[in-house]
Amino acid sequence: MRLGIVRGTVVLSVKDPALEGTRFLVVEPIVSAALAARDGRGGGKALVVADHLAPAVGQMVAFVEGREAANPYWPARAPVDAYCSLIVDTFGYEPPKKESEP
Amino acid sequence: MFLARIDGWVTSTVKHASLGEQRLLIGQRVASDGSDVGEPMVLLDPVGARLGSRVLVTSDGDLARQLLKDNRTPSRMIVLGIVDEVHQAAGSGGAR
Repeated sequence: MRLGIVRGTVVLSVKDPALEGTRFLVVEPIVSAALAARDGRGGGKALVVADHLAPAVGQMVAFVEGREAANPYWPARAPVDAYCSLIVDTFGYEPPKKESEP
Repeated sequence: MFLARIDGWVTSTVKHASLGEQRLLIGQRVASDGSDVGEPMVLLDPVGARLGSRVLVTSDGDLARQLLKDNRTPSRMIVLGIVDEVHQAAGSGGAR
């Protein structure tokens, strides 16, 4: 799963029937520098993520990509390749200091 | 499978039901020389890794489904074990 920040939603009226009841989030993935800075930036390339948890804009989420993103629809099949697995309450992030840093 | 370093943790109340009480850690994939590869990711941790641990991670979704006993789980990155040592042939990029 990658971490991301919810930036918005996508609304579809005409869609694949398998996606009925699914929300779509615009999510900006968080790169390590942004995670360390805790400044609300993401820094990654935004993508659309299928969702049933309804996070608010600005909240941090973790999303799974690939075949597993369609698992929640099992045994039905859904054309989904990114899915919001959880909403982050709190996180700790303490990567080792790089040698170039003081 | 790949090697990663545990750099943090995540807590979550609102999540897919399959994730239950699983420990959620932030892992950083590392290359054989210890340098970072890509961006941090959230891992399920059934083995109890600690901050700074070097771990072996699988991206196998089948294992996630077995571990969580749920065919619907939207997860696949799982800590398989804590690495003691990596032995590597000389000249293939200094293990750390």
